Amino acid sequence: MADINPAYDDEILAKAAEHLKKEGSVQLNEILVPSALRSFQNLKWKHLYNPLKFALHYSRPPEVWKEFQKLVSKLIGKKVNCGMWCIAMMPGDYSVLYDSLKPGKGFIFMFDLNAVPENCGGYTVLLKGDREVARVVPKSNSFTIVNQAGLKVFHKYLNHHAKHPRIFLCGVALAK
Amino acid sequence: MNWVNPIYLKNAAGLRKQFATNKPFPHLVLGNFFARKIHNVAKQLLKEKFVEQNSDLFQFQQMTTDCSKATQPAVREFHKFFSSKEFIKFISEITGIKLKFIDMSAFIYDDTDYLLPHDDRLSGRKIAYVVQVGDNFTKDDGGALQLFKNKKIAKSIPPTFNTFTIFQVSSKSWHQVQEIMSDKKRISFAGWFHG
Repeated sequence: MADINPAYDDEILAKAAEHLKKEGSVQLNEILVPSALRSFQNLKWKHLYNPLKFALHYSRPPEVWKEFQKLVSKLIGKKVNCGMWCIAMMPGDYSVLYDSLKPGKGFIFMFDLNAVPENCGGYTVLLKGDREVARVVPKSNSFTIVNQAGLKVFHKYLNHHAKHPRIFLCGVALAK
Repeated sequence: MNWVNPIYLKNAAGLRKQFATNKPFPHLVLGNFFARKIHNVAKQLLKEKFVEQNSDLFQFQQMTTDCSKATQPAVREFHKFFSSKEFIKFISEITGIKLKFIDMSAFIYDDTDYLLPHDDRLSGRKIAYVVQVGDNFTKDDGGALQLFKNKKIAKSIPPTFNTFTIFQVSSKSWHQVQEIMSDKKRISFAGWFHG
């Protein structure tokens, strides 16, 4: 895992895995080495727009996705199948809890490239029924994983005060 | 009916035709609709209590009670007229839909507030309405009521003081309130005529 900050050795990751198991989520800050952050530059974004469900910008993830798959496997303690994509939330982007949205399975994880102030929106909310159980407010170079079994997810509308987009790699991991 | 601009009262047949043919779904946008006393209603409305509402779909402030229970006499009087048999009959006439009663709440949208696309469908709701009683907005201020056709914005209606907008609630009535992009306040009464 050459792109992962070497401070996250086996001992630290074992503690993180324990925290994830106990609390249902864990966040790892300064997760990538600086050179790996550059792989998120020059991504080509495609606008995904279904106003009743979402307005987002999508890109294929850079090669570093393989490192995240290994990281997730270590944190969950099992081999995993992962689906991953890169998302840019520009001002005006969002996703909502539309009627046919089904509760999640497995784990959802997010690598955030940059911070976005909470009052600008753009954060991710996980709900069990109507109760908010987790909120991922984008922090620069941070990795967050949440057990999303039975949870629904939306991305809060990013308002016009945001100075730059929220760029993040988002994935879902299911144990093999 | 001394609350309504007489120009509209004299033209029910014309309004009915316009309502039925307006695109992308039946609606009317009627400027300068209420009598001058709406100014006092707007002023008194700001003395009511509002609470922040926030979800995946919206962000705005809503009056804590239905307007029938307003603390300010001017607001209650406006509600009394709006819910009167004669006004409901007039709206039934121009929409061609049998209507029975209304509900009414009040809303304040500040900078960054919004309401994402939805269709308003819920049992009994026949006609949705908005009465604008806040600042006049330009295009750059945002805050427009936007009507969709085939998942695209087909019409934008910027907030203008004393404009009364109605539209038919149906599977086609997708609409949103665009984010407020300035310090102006979008203040409105809104709700539904029920059948």
